[in-house]
Amino acid sequence: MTNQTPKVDVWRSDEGWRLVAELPGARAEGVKVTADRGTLTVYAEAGARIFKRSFTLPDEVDADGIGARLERGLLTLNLPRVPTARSRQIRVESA
Amino acid sequence: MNVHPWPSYVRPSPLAILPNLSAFSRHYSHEDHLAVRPTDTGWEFSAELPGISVEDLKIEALTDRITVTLKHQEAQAEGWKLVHQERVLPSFSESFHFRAPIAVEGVEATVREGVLTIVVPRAALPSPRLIPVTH
Repeated sequence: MTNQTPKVDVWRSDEGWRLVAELPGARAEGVKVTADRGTLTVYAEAGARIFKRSFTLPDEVDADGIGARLERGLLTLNLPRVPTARSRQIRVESA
Repeated sequence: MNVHPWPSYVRPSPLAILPNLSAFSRHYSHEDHLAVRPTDTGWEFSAELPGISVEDLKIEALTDRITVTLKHQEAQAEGWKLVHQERVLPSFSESFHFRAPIAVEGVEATVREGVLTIVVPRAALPSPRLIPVTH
């Protein structure tokens, strides 16, 4: 098994981030993506190779909303921004 | 987003690991993407080209060479900005020359999971013919 760091492009928009990683030869069943305490890890087995790489997630990423798609050897991860917290008026109670 | 630095992985030249390739002379400049290995019946090319589709490729075979042409463009979604780039999208046209004739009809190419494979069979050698000697 050879370890290899996948090449990655990172895109950004108002909606969040998009990460495109090259995983030539990998099939969906061999790809594992985990988001744990602010760290995103991509792990993929492709033939005799292992692709592995970790990324620090910005605080604004909604970890529950992360989506992943593998197509033609490219893994696309959509990292949406957390919905903006609505401002809320705090009612002041009298004693 | 911060991308962690990672020790750079150096790929061995695909030809460095090959046994004797006397029937094959190489001519290309994309070692990162292309590898060739001899098989029992000829040669097998493989190229890692993540993201490409069948429509991006044109492959031509002649008795002494194959030519691979790749034109690939990725659409840029509106509102998205590239903030970190490592990927290189190759567009190239390369010819691979063979000193032994290849079986043009038998050349086959497939793209799976971003890996292009081209199987290039050797042409069958003509059987020896006994030449009658006349006087």
